[in-house]
Amino acid sequence: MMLNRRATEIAVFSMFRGCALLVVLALVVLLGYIATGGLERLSIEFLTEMPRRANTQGGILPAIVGTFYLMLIVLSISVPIGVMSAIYLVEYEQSSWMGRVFKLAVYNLAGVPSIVYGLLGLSIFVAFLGLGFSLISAGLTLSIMTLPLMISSAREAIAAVPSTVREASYALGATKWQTIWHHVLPYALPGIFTGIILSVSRAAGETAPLMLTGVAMSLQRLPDSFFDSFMALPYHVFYMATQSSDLLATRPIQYATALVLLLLVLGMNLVAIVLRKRYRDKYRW
Amino acid sequence: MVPRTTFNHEMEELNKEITEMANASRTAFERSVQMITDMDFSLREEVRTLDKRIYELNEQIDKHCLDIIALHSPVAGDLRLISACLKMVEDLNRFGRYATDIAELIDDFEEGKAFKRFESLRTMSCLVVGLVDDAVYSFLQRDAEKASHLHERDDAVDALYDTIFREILTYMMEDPRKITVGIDLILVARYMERVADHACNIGEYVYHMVTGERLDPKLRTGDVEASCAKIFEHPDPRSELDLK
Amino acid sequence: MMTAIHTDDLHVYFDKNHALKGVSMDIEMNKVTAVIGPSGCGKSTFIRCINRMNDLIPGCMVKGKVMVDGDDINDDDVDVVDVRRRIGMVFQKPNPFPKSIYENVAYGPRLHGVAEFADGKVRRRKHTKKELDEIVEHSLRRAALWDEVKDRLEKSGTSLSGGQQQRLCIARTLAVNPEIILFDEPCSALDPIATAKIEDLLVDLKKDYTVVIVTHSMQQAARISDRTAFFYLGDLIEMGDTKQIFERPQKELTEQYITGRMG
Repeated sequence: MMLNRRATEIAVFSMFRGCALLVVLALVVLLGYIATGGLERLSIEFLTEMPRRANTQGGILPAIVGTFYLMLIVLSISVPIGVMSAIYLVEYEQSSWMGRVFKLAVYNLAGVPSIVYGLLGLSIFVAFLGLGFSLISAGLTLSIMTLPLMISSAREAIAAVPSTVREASYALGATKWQTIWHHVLPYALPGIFTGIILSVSRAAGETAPLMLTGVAMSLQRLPDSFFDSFMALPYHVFYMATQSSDLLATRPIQYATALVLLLLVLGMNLVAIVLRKRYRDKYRW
Repeated sequence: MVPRTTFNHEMEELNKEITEMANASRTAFERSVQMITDMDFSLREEVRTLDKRIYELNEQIDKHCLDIIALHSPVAGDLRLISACLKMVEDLNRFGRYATDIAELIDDFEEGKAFKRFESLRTMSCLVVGLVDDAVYSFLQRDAEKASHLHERDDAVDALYDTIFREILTYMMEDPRKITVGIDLILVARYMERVADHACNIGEYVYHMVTGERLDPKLRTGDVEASCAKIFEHPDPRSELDLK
Repeated sequence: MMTAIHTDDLHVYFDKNHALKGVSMDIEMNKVTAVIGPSGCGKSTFIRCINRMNDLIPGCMVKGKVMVDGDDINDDDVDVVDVRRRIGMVFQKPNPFPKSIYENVAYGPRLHGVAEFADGKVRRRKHTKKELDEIVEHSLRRAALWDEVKDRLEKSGTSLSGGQQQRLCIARTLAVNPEIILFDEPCSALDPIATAKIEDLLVDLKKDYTVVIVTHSMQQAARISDRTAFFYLGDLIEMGDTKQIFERPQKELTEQYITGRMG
């Protein structure tokens, strides 16, 4: 019997370890594939020049800038709204019917496919509000898409703040808002940063909403306002891999663009991780 | 299940020990009196044995009480019981000592016959045996009412002692050959008077143990007539001797 | 003998559960009052009524009067924030904020500012650094913690030992200058030496404040309190001088509980 138990232990843990290795392997293969495919095309010119000759030469600067602006829009819209909604959910309307309806809405929104969001963006932002095919339409669409994710993460982080901290603050005569501002939010910041990482990464990589809200195939200039047209990295990869004139020749460009996208996302994640660590150390509980 | 099993067990053990000691003391004293009234000198051995047991229990209970206080922090009723035990063992011990003293004194028929002569001495011995009985029973039955009335009879006992002293003095002055016997008899009376005082002390401890209040000293009036009146109200204590 | 707190027929309901049943009692000023009773008897619920912390629990309903200084704190026009400033609370598990020791103590005063009388009106202004420093030092001294932390005020509050953390929480409460301080089993998470230090502190505090302490240790209640109240299943069974309760309780139930024979 003893042997049986030990054998089971070993077998099960080997399986777990195997799965973990598989995941790591997948990541390594992915990165490796893209890196080897696109590294040759990666250069300063690639990163800083406009595309030429139907995207077969030159650089992808507009796409980089476009993706960057999009992430900025998502950050500035979905983070504040997400955090405020989460505070409302946790602190103010715990068990009333309105709170429950709100929670239900958030969960359902999270499950809507991105193409549907694209359609939404097209009809509301592009057409109805007359914003046209522009950065702002795409940005707003992406923001709404990532909002549920942001709210869920922020809600988890805020709800995880121990009630003893709140009690201590109230017992000293603080109001609800003072308690939230001085104690709950600082505590929840690491968790909120996690939410930001997830949301922004998702927004940076979505293609479908972009296609319906006006991403351009090729531009020779950078957008000069939020109402201007734009390029974006994920769409560029799609376009180069399906629509370009010479698929084989442009393969390095595809891979290089994908690599740049990956690096951009990883870069932003790294910044968020560093900030999260700082706050985690500051407010260790 | 009631919690604090160890503590409850200790308290029950203590109760058993103090009950045994109280009964032993009472019996010892009664036997010693019986030696005189029935002239049964064989009872001396029993008295001696009981006294030894009383002494052992004294030490045992003392130690037991301190152990309980140190380890279990008793409060309220438990605390009052322990306080009563610590004080009572000294008085119960005295019962045993005086019983032995009386038993040692009475060693021949002369005293017995002389004892029979003095009616007051016999009365006193009845009274004191009654007091000891009531003191012990008031503790065993946790009867504060009974305990509060003990001292009323003590004054009568004191008065009787004075009377006996004068009587025996006269007896001794009549015939100098009777002096030895007379002195022995006076000592017996003295011991009994002391036993009565100790019985009253026990009454005070019992009263405090049950009610939490001290017996009012103002009630100790020293009114002999009232005390004597109380004596004749009280039923013959000897009849209770055979209980338990 | 002045009354600091007077409750009149106080009932508390948690949804359908009748947690506190008609409690009427007086708590004397500048004395330590202990509240004892078995688990679930309502003692924590009771003291949380005094600083209206029960308001934070959804589904909680409070009926009856709690009079402090002649005013019923359950009245609609009473400022809860002010009630909680005047009536402080220290909790069972030490819960210092994960900020520096200085910030922990300064948080309360910063919230409320300094009250000033100007042109016949009461104004509140921010503390100066010097004023805050004084308040922090004074509070830490009063909580018997100053000597141990005066050289490391900027260290995190959570870096202290359990007993020190609890004293920090006490200092934090003292910093807002309350009249009454409530303690909800303050020593149950501490070792005996830390407990002893805090007990000494509590006895010292009664010189300037009214202290109410909930404790499940009867020995503690016996050691440090002047008055004791015994709760059972939501009812106040008996209240009196501590010596009387522990030597000669009037009610059978009280005797059973304090001698440990409540099964």
